[in-house]
Order: sequence, then C-alpha cells, then structure tokens
Amino acid sequence: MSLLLVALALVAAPPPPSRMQPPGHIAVETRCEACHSPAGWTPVSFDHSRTGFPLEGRHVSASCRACHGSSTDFRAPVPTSCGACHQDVHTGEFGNRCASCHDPSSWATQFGPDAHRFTNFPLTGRHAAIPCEECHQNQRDRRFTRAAADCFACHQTDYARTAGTSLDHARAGFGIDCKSCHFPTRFKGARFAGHDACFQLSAGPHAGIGCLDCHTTLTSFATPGTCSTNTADCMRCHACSHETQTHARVAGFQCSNRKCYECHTFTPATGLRPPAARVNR
Amino acid sequence: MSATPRIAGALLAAGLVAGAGARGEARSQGRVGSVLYATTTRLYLDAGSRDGLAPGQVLHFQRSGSCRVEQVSETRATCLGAGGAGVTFPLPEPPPPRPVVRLPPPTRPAVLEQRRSVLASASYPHVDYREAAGGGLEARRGSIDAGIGHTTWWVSGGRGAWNQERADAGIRGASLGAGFTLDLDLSARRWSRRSDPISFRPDDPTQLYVWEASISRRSGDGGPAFSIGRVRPYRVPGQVILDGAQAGWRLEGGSEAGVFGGAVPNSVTLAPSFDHGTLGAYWIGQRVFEADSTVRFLRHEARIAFVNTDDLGKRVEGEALLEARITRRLDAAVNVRAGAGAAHGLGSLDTIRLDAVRLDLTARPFDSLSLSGSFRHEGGSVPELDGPGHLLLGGEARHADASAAWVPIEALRFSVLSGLSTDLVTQKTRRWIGPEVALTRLFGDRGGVSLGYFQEDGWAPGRSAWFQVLARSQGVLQILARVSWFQTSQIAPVDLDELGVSTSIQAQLGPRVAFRLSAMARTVLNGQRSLFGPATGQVMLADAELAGTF
Repeated sequence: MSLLLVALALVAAPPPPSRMQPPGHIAVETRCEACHSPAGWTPVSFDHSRTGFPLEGRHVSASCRACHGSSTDFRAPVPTSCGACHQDVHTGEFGNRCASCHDPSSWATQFGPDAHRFTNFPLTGRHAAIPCEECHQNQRDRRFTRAAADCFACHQTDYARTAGTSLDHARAGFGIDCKSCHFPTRFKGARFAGHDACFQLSAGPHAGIGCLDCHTTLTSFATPGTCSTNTADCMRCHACSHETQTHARVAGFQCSNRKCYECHTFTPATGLRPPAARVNR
Repeated sequence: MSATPRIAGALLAAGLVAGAGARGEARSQGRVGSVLYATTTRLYLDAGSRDGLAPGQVLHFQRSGSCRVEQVSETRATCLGAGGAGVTFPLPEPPPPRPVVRLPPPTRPAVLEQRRSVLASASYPHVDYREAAGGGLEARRGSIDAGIGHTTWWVSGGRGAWNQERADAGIRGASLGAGFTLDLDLSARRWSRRSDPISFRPDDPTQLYVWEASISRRSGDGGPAFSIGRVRPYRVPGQVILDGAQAGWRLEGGSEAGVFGGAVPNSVTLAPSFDHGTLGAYWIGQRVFEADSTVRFLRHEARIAFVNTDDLGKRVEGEALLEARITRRLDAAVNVRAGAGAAHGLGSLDTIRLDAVRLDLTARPFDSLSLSGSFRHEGGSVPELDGPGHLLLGGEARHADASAAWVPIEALRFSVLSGLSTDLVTQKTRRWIGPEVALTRLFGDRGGVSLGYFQEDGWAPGRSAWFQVLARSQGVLQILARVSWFQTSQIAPVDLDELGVSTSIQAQLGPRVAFRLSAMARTVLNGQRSLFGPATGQVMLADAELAGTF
C-alpha cells in the first residue's frame, strides 16, 4: 500500500524546476549557460556546427533571427539551401548551387579563369586576362549564358580590321577559323600552315618573324599558297650594304627583292641555300 | 621496549611540548612566523594577511637574513629571498579584527516558495529577442557593405595593362522606421587605362551601375508588401530589375501574391529607359515542415509577365520554380521558363518556346557520400545584343554536370567531377571528367591540400591538372595558392601548353574591415619548350579590394 502511495505521489508531482521553460524559449532546457554567460543575455555563444550547418564566414555574425525568424523554437527546421534566405541576382541561371562560385566569406566570386575551363570555352592565352564584360556584356541580369564558342563571333571586327592592309584576310582568301593560324595570346605571330612549303618560318633563320615583316604590299596574298607572289620585302631586313658585300662574287647580283627570288627559291630539301652554279668561286 | 629508548622518547616529547609552549608564548607575546618550505629563491611561510603580512613587506629573520613578501593569502604567503625551512621571523602587528556582523535568520521556506513561483511566472523580454514587426525567414538587421578595389589585366606583347578602379556599396534591409527598409546595390567603375581593341563600352571610361535602390515594406506577420524605386523584384523568378514597383499581399508564413511593373533599364548600361518595360503577376510560397516529415522544405515561385526589353523585344513569359528538401538526403530544384513573341501585340503571339529548363539534384545516400548533378537547357531568350562588333551572339545551349564526393574520414575527400556543355547553334561541345583528392585537414585547423586532374574532350580537347594549398588562421587570414597546368588542342596551330599560378588572400584587418587580393599569372608556351622564350606569351590578372561591413 505504501509503495502504491509513493508511486502515486511521484506521478502526481509537478516536474522538477530544472525542466521549466524559460520565457521566450520553447521546448528548450534551462541550461542557460549553454548559450548565455553572466556578462549578459547578449552576445549569445552557441556551437552551431553540431546542427549540421556550421556557421562560416559572414554567417558567423548573422543574427539568430535572420535565419530562425521570429520563432523562439530553435529546434524547428530551418531550410539550409542558399535560395531560402538569399535572393538570386542571376535570375535563376545557375540554379541553387551558389557554392560553385561563392563562399560564405563574401559575395565576391571565386569563379576565375581556371574555373572557366569547365564551360564550353576554355580561357586560353589572352582570354584569361580580359574583363568578363568584354564577352559577357549584359550587366542588368548578371547572366553569363552567351554561348559564343566560335572565334569569329567575337573577332569579326578584328578580321574586318585587316581590310585594305597588306594582310587583307578577305582578299587573301583566309578563312574565318582564326585558330588555324593565330595563337590565343595575340594576333601577331600567326602561323600559316602552308607557308613552310614556300618559305620556311616554323624553323630556321626566319623562324618567329611576323607576317608584316615581309608582306608589306596589298598584292602580297594575291595568289596564296602558290609560292609565286614574289612580293616579300627582303630588303626591309637585309641591308643592301651588307648583302652587296657578301654577294660580291655572285654574278648578276642586284640588291632588290625580285632578284633575291631568282636564287633563293625555297624548297624543303635545300632550304634557302642558292644553287652552287650561280656562285662565282 | 627497553628503558633507555623509553626515557629518550619521554624527553623528546617533553622537549617538543616545551618548544611548542615556548613558541606559543612567543606568538602571544612577540608573535613569530616560520618558513615551511624553501627553494633557492622563494620561501613559503606559515603566516598570511590575518597575521599582518602584505605584499612588498620585508621580513627579517630572527637569526640572520631577510626576504620580501611576494604573494599573500589569508593564512599563507610566499617570500622572495634565501633561507631554510624552520627559520623564524617576527610578525608585525595584526590588523584589527573585523566587526562581527550578525546575519538575519534564514527566510522561511514558505516565503522562498512564494518568491520562486513569482519569478517562474514572470515574463520578461530578452535583450536581443524581442518580437518585432518584419519578422520571418527574411528578417534581418540592416547591413552596409562598402569596398574599393583595383584590377589590372596584363598580357605580354600587348599595348599595356588595363587598369580599373571601382567603388562598390550595398545596403541590405536597413531600417527606415515604421517597418520600411532601404536596399541599395551599386558599383562605380573608372578605367584609368584601356587600349584598343575594346569591346565593352569603349567610349565610357567611367561607368555607374545601380542594380537596386528601393524602399520596401514586407512584414513577416503578413499584410501588404511592396517595393518601389529601382527594384530587384522580391523572389519573382527570372524577373529582371525594373524602375517601378512591386506590390502584393503577404500571408502569415511567407506566402505572397501580387503584381509588378515598370520600365526596364538598358541591359548594358543600366540607364533608365522608358522605351522598354514589363508588367506581370507573381506568386511566392515557402513552407518548412516538421523535422521528421518526408518533405522538410518546399519553395515554389511563379511569374507571368508581358516584357518588352532591348534584347528580347516584346514577349509574354511564364516561369515557375520549385525547390524541395526531401528527408535530409535529397535536395531538388526545377525551374522552367517559356515565352512567346508578341511583336504585334498580345493578340498575335508567336509559337511558345521553351526558354529555359533547369534541374538540380543533390543526394546524400550516406553521410559520407554526396552525389549531385544538374541539367540546363537555355533557349534563345538571352542573346547578346550589344556584343563585340554589335553582333547578335548567344543562342541555345545545354549544360549538364555530375559529381560524386566520398569522405571516408573527416580529413580526406575523394571526388569525381564531370560535365558537358553544348552550343546548339554551332554544335560545338566540350566534355570533361576527372578525379580530385583533397586532404582537407592536412594542417589541422590551419588548412589542407588538394590535387586534381581532368581529361577533356570535344571541339577543344585537352587536359588539365592542379595542386592547391589552402592555409588559414581562423577568422584572420586565409591564403589559397594553386599551380595549374593546361594543355589544349585544336585551339591554336599547335597544341597549347599553359602553366599558371594563382593565389587568393583574404585578411581580416579588424572586426569590420577585410582585405582581399587575387592574382593569376600564366605563361603560354605556344609550342615552345622554354617557359619565357620570345615566342611564348604571358598573361596576368590581379585584383585587390578593401571591404568593410557595418
């Protein structure tokens, strides 16, 4: 009987004082010291990493209510996706995975030229060091969906800029596949694949010279690929005083471009060496 | 026991008693303290503040020598000096005894119980947790971000570096009183040096961009909600900024419906333009479910609008977004936009086209394994109107990616990443896949390293590899350094090798001010073997920013 009375008393007894709910906090134990300190109710210190959403970067200084709203029940679920709290300035283009480009320390983008490689247009050469707006011009929507992977789409004006010059691309019949001749670092220093068949530039004494160093007239590319333009400006680099001296024993030598070709006809086999019979020994 | 030791013991006891009696007599008459323990420099005394000792006091031993009192408790003290255990010294006059205060009798239990019940039932506001209008998931204190920065782009053989200075400012949700808030987002930029060819606004060395300058009122308790000014419409999917207003009615819990309308600024300069505009309606819904429910979080937003912009012309657009968290293992989001041209008015719409379909999935089948993937179809709705050479670029494109990350132990992560991007206009496609290994806590809390490799395929095939080090001093400094190698084929007359280094430094200069420096440099071999030969090229990009948050 006494046991029964004790059991009834235990059941009917009010909860111990330590289980009481503090005003303003719902369903939370009264271990105030877990978050608060005797210095005052603020600042609040709480190990948020135990919740599965560690507070990093700017989230550290965010007020509790910024995420938990007006609810005082901190155990109530809070959405962890970025879009639940942050408005998307990219109008949805990149979905809800903000962390691909941003980190919690600031909205400054972590997306750089290296990361751009994982798009349809790897930023090679100079493309890695130009402002984004040079290609992605839209500022209003902060979108980057301009799928212009074709060189000519951006460089049409550069192609057109050659009109009327000795490198008139259209007149010379050059195609619009820029990368077949040009490197992505700069336009100068192009490599014309068929040039070696007429005049070796990929190696030898003329390696590395620019197109404009020799091709100085509009007719330079009248018949491209035929090796018969005969318009290279040899004398621009080869000084007559020096060449006259070194060709003193060459019969019929004249210091003019056209005369150079009569002897210095390039072949892959002989290079630029003139026929021995033409030299007076 | 023999008689001799017994007698000796009795004498010793008598001696001790006599000694003690003599010392007690001395304490009562002359008062003497003694050294309990001694080290080479410090003595530990059997007297303290009750006996009149105080720090700095010099005690003179009764035979010879002295020490200076260092620290004092009530009954013990330390003294700096030389001496041995047992050395005695005269004590100063003790302080007068404190008056005895008689405490009141204990409070009766009935009174204590009454006080406890009053305290328990009392309501009191917490300092930082007072309920306020405007609460809700988006409730926040206003913040001000401001920063100044400088960026340099440089390429070897070019006409000199490009330099830009900028000042950025942002105000987010600053309270204006009566529930009104101010939002501001702007950037002023000045090109101090640029050289031809310039594609983007070549005639404007000074540029100002204002993305947001609006006054809003949006209460978490529901009721009318509106924004006016240069508005970035609140949670209206796909809606561009506008000079006008958004007005709606908000339900308790965050759901909202309303209308918006105004002029649409120029897409390149953001200059106000009354030639273009938009008018539409929107719906916002967001709900958080119980922690043990299958669907934990659901967000759904929709928009239908008539738009007339400089890049797209007149159109009717509809867009919907749905985001869900299903258990704690799966996050999913889908976004669909469709539109039809309305060049000749709403009565003669063109065929409806799918402007965008976006799907994002992230699954965590185990705590140590994460799988994610996305698919995007971008229709022809985002052409570049004022692109290089004033061409109409862009067009339909598709992108997809998939990745898996396994974290067998806390400090180790294996990842496989892959992706695919296709330009449907030119039919150019690139694909990439590769592993990454990260020792995320190689330096403990100070950082880690990662190493990765990618094999790439498509119109510009190639491969790339990198090694990255991340070091940080928690909350003060973070340094990221990476060495990269890229090889790309079919993008130049020869296979292109590039070697690059990049670094990013973030230093917290104070509780509100941070400095950031990012730099990237590459050498492009252009088919050469030397890193810096005459036919190679070098590029560099550096950005420095001083930013504050207030």
